[in-house]
Amino acid sequence: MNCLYPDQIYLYLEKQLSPSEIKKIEIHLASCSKCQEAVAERKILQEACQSLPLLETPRGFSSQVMARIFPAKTKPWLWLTATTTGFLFLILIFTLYFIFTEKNLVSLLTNSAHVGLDVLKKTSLFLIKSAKLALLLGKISIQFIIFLINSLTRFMKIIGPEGQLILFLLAFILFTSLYLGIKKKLLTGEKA
Amino acid sequence: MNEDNKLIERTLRGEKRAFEMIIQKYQQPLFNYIGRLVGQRELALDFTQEVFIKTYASLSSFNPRYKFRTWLFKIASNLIIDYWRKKKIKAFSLDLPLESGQRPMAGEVPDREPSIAKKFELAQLRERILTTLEKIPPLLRELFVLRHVNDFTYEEIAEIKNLPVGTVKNKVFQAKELIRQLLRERI
Repeated sequence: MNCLYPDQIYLYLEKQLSPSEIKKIEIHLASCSKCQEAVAERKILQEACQSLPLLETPRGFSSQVMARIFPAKTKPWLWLTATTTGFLFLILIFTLYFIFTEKNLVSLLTNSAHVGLDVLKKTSLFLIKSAKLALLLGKISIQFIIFLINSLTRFMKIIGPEGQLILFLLAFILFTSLYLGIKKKLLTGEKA
Repeated sequence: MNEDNKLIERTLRGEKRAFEMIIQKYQQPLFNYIGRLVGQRELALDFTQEVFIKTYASLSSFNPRYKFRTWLFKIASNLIIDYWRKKKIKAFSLDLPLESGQRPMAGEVPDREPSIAKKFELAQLRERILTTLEKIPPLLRELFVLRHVNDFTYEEIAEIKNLPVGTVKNKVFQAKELIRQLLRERI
């Protein structure tokens, strides 16, 4: 038998050859120091390859993957639970307060109710007075408007139809100038 | 029915805990496989997560006649090949002849160079193998990792990579010879 090929050596080392092939190789190895060396070297390499150091995944890796596959959803009953817990907690705080201060809960509630009624009464009075004042102001305004109309009517009678025409023209000129002035003011700075 | 298939069935019935058990069982081997191929810890962790997410998404299409472990690594292998493609790393086509500097398998073994066994202690040799692994073509590296890090049989590797068993054996031996050669060159 000739000297061994690398694949023959690996197959021999991995025990992947038939008994007759193994026997042939062993006969050759017994008389060939070069092949003995070649086999020894690959045996060491093989051993090293089969016991390579392993990498470690970090702690909680599987939980991270699970969180990516199944993202957490907020359930409605969680809100309900949180609200109920908060309410019960408040009741507990009040109960502990009355136990430690030895105050009477009923009297505190009655006092609170009285204070509330007082506030309501005062607020109602203020509202009624405000309404009366508003009514009075309304009446005065109406009388003032009637006075203005009457005065204008008398003034028109005094100046006669010619005076009314002149007044109308003056008013027209005044409003037109005002309108054009405002428009010009608004257009200032704009490029035509 | 084997343990994996039971866990898959439970997962498909909606039992989340069953899938978490699958993750716990395979996270280490999968991370080692990906880690040795991409060489960056954080990237390998991301890819490992990605593989589990893809696996969960396509779990209903798993055929229980096949081994789950093989199927899982097939998903991982496709993900890595996509990554290499995007990075434009040649996945070293099996049809191509060996690149220059690589020794063909034909030719008898004996040589007079100093043996790696005489130069390195076992622990040192393991470390050197891992650094040398990064220098060999990606496909040879992948087959080497599947065989020696993940302890797959040649038949299982052939199934994962859709290759004939003989080709797989030949490529794994080639990878080892290449590592041996590179280790010798360093001496």
